[in-house]
Amino acid sequence: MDKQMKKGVLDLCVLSVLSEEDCYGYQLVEKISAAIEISEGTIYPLLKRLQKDGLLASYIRESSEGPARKYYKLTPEGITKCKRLRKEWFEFYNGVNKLLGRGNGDE
Amino acid sequence: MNSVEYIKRLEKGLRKLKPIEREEYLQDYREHFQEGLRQGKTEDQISRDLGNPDKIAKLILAEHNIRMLDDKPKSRSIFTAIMSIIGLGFFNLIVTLPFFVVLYALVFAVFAIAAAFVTLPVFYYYFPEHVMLPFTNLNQELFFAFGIMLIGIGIFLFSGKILKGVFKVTVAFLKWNLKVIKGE
Repeated sequence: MDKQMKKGVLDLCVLSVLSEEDCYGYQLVEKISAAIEISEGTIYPLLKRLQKDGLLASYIRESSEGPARKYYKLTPEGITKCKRLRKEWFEFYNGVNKLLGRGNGDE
Repeated sequence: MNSVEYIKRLEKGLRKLKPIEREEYLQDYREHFQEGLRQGKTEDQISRDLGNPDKIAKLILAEHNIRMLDDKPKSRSIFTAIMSIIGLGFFNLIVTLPFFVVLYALVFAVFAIAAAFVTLPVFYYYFPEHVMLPFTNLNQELFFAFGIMLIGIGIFLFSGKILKGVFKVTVAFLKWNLKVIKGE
């Protein structure tokens, strides 16, 4: 997939994953890179930005297997933003698919 | 690349940040390595998945400098932000740089014109033969010269607003740019 397109939706991916469950950094990175090909290191600055924008909050939780981990979760603003971005994404996605025709089969 | 080397490269790329801020970023990557090792990955593999540390550092710097603008747009921080965005890639050099050269050349031109307007009466007083005004009597010429001066002063009075507007455009453009071009 095109690099620039991917960048645009990365915020949405992070917010969406966190809307399912709170994650620590590594876990979040793994989930995203399992689905789309990215430089994993770009996720951390993004997390910081989303946090400073007030969309994410973090807390420390002890773990049984090693040191305590920093978990991220959505703030109420984050939830609102995530819903809005998802809606926009699906509108866009459906629109593009309509334009592309059947959507699969001829690749 | 092993983790020590990776973190060192990242640290070097982030040397312009304050130590506390730099540490905050580095900590994320240190933890990432620890976690990856626990999951059975090799340091080399983790480094590769993270991506080029020099590029990551540039991305962090660009994000950071943009944030500084949100807090307080000052011409110095604007310049830093422009440079770090340009540092993100060659594409920016051909797209971003001309945009700002033109924008700020325009701003400069406006102020140069305003300065010329303001000094017109003085100039007119000392070198009347060099000033050609389309009037026949002195009163009209004086009236015109002072009118122009007032317009010049007016532009200066509004300069705060103009600069604020230009800064706003700059920030908006940089943000857009960062969104489109960021990392890889």
